[in-house]
Amino acid sequence: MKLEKVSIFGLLMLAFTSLLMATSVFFPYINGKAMFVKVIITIVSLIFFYLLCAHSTFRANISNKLQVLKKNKVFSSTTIYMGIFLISTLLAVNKLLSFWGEPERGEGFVGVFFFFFFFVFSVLLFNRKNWIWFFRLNLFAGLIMFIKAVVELVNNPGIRATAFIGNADFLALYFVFIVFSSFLIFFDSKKENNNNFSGWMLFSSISFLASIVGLFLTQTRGALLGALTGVFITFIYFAIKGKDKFIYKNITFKKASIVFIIASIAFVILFIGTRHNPFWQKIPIFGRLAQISLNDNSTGSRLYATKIGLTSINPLTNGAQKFLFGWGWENYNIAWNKNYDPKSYMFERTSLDRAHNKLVDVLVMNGLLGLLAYLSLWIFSIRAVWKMSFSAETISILFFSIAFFVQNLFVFDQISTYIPFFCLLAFIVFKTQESNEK
Amino acid sequence: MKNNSKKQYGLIAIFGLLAVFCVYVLIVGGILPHYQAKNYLKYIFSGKADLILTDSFIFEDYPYVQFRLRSDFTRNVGGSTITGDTGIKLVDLAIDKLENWENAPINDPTYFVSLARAYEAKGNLLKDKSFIAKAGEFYQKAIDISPKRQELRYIYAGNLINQGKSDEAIQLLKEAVALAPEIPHSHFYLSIALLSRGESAYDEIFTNMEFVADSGLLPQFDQTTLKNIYGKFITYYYEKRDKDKLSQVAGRMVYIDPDQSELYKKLVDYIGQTGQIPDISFKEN
Repeated sequence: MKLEKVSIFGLLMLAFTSLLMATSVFFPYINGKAMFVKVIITIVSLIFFYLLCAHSTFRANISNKLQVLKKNKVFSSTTIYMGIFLISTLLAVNKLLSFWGEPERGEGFVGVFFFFFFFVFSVLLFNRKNWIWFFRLNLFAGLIMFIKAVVELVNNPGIRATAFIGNADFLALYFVFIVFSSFLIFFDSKKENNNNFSGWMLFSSISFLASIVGLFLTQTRGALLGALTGVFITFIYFAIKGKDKFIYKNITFKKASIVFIIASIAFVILFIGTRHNPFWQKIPIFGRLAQISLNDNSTGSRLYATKIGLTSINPLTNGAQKFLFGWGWENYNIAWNKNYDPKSYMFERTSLDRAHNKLVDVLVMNGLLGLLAYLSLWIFSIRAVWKMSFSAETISILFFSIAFFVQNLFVFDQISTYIPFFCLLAFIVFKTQESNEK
Repeated sequence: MKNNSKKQYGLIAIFGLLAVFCVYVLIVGGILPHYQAKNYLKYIFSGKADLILTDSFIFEDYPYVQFRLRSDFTRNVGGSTITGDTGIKLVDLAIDKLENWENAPINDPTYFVSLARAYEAKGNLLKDKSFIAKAGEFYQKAIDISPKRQELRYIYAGNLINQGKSDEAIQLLKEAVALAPEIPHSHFYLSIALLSRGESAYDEIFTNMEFVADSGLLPQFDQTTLKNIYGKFITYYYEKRDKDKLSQVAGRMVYIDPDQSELYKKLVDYIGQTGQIPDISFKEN
């Protein structure tokens, strides 16, 4: 069906979302992207509806897929989380703001729901070939992003690169996503070409190197910590699952990873012990990592934002509804103002609309039920990945899942990170369905 | 079979509703607000703010962009160089679009601060203090929403000083200090407000300013204001022949007034070595 291909093509184009800017409106880095996602998803939803009405085979196929998906825990928990998100919106203090969002974030219920539609449509429409193309297109987008970051730094040496995303923290996560996409494409091409070197392997290698360099150009501590934790957990996975898999001659993944884990722990101890040494200041990001302390503004403001967040959902002071369903998306600022701690002024002098910790954001804006649903989607995702067969693809997904989750303990999701987030979830759903079919 | 077709029709209904929802959101939450923001910014950046008066589409209530747009409009009107009839019409429009807004975010202190600023702009334009007082009412509403945010008290204190109500401003800033005594900014703004009481408050100002200086955050504050305050201390404690405080103040001036740091160093050294205050001839500025 031609129209189905058109809607798949539309979804594939979302790989370029992060490159878009609209300079003639408020917050150019946000609203160009937000509008693009809305346009594409609306077109896809209309085509999808038409296909459902006009083609009985398509309708039967989708109906069967949905029957199977009902039993998929990642799909169900993501859908349940969005259901609680909707209830939080309906109960929000400022319902209009919670529903429509505002230009600084481009989210609100409708903004996040469009990304959720991307998740649903990609789960229903993408086959393996489409997924591979989606990741390939992301490599192109990532390379353009990298070039822009380099140009920025050539023009203004010493700054933290922000490229088309407008914020170094989110750009860093975007580069981690490109690292993940590079892995997938590299190993997919390797498999497709029976271990012979191919153009896609070369291109993904270049993208991989560019995104690692890009990550360092952003000097973002949270993303680096996330990526390093992702690598560390991946090696734990090797140690558990790789006892009969050989990395080289008679060296198993298990043996190699135990050596790596010991070396990593030794490195962390060495780093913490010598972090005040000027040597670390010469290494990008590590210099910033070495400066982390309870007294630095970044840590202090995050700790106070968390404290204010926890106070704001205390059922004794703010009621059971806020405790269970939160204040509503985009209403963090209202909770923050009402429960403000004046001591936090020492670290943060601007008004906050996010806690800079995704879990606290979800807890404050979607309540305890929202947080449980959000955590459950991560737990089911990691569990699904852990159960998958030992492969480069599984390892890549595990790495990115951990990296994404950990880095979000220091920031929050943003318009440029929602596509990677829902893409990850949808790809996990796809992989579990694929392995079930086998 | 029947059950299956029922499910499929249910599927059509759900995805049909979702498609309608997407189209509605795209238009009302995407395209229309996009053009409102685009038109508004076009007028602002091209210096043709007066055209906003004739373009009613900009303020039609599509929520996605309206708060940002209306508060930005207020800020621009406040800082605008447009005077006369057009200036007043723009300020009135800014006030009207905030104050008579059905969907106003009344739980957000920023909304009331924006409204207060619009009234201050009107007061400044018409040189009418009653609008400054009206602005004060909105600052108070902002404080009522977020009673522990000292920053809101700083802004309201500025408004009270403009109204000539220095004592109320001082009281408000003392409340700010009491909220979190460890925050140097509250002590700084209290010091500025206390200046209105003249030399009788200098010892109190000195204590507050030394708290600010000891916090190590002195470079973050407005250097001209710091120079002004510590400059007053120099003459005051010189005349009072208080060598300890004079030496302490001169020590701070070494960093606050780099142009004259050598002179201040000499003063500190002289008092330290002799225990005496030298004869100084003060010049204006």
